[in-house]
Amino acid sequence: MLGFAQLGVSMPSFWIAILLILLFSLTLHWFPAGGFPGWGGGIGPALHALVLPALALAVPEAAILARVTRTAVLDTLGEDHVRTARAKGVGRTAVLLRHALPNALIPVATVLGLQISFLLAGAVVVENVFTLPGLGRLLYQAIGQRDLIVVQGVVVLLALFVVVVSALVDIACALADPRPKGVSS
Amino acid sequence: MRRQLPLSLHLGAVLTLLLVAMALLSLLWTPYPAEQVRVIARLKPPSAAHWLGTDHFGRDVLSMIMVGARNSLAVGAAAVGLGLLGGVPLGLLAAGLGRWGDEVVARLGDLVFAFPAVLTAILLTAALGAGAINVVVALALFNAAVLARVTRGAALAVWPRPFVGAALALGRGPLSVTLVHVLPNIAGIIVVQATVLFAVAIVNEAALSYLGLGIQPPSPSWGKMLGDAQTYLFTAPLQAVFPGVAIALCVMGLTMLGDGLRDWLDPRHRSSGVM
Repeated sequence: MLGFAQLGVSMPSFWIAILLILLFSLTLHWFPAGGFPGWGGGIGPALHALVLPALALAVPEAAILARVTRTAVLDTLGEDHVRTARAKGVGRTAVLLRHALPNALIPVATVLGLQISFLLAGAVVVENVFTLPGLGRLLYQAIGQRDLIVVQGVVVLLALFVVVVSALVDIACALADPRPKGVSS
Repeated sequence: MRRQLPLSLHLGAVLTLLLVAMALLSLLWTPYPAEQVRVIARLKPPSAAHWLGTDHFGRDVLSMIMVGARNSLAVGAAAVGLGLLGGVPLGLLAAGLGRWGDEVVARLGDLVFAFPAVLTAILLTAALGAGAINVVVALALFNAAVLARVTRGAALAVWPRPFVGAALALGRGPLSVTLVHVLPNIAGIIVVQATVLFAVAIVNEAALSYLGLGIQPPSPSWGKMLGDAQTYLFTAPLQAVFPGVAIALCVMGLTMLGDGLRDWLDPRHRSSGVM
């Protein structure tokens, strides 16, 4: 399990994308190797074209979150309230799900927020692997044409997005924290 | 009792050393010159003559991967080295200066973090032209921000400890206290972070070279090789596998090294006996 997570963290998303094309497009013919039919042709074909790009970005993300969750849960397992719960006779699974997981989710959410920026950067590359007409592809083409105004605009827009998402994650963390408010631990 | 070295530390160190050895070997010897073009032998599958086959110009893939290791490690080392030079003093300064300096460094960090490293690199290459130097600058900027933040956090945890107060009471100046008492106590944390950033830098360099913005041809790079291989996915699918394996092994070695070092230095991360 941990080995799988280690592998997932180590593989760059654009290589996963190429391997997915190799397996699902060239060998199995399940999904298109690239391009985007647009939303005009209905939601079905559009989503069908987005399966592989989404998967390429999701695999490293899942591996990172698995590692963070593991560390966070291990950290909370050492805390007093977990020992108390075990001592009063709560089963292992119940302790894990009800007592350890809620506390462990805070660092997970924080990392998720930080990862948004890496996901966006990853999307720039993966969009180019699959030739998807997104912001990343626009950015790449603008560089090729030395269209600095477009490059600047896209980068500032993406940076704005990162800032807004970070702020939202901070607020969500404060709301989700199971520890009593106003008490320092 | 001697502390047991974690398994990940062993595996990570071995993997990393192997890659470094391969990169160093490429300085002296490669099976073929990495930039030798032989169109007659293009896109060949692996054979006895070319262990990993040849690319669309007939260049030997094994030789290119070996030189690519050198390029990737050099970019990563430069990005992390410059990041350390810039970030660690800033972090120490922020922790030592107190509220005002702290605030300035933290906001500067926020500014850098708003732009993902790859985006900064893209912006820089768009403005100044593609090339390894600009990639190094962009990645070093990001690394410096991360390292400044980590250093500051760790140093702030050391400052209130009694031996720091004692040293100050004995008349040592803040600079000397920082260098003699604070820095040695947080060096471990910084080294672990630097190892992880090294791995991140290698992935980012590969991504930028894949886009054609990083290391420029004819100098081989793992990312560029993947980009080229994608064009010939139908005829030579294996060429899209080998450079990726090299990247994955490199990153895996470095992250395992970082994890192992952290477990070794920080006993808290070893699994507790509660559950």
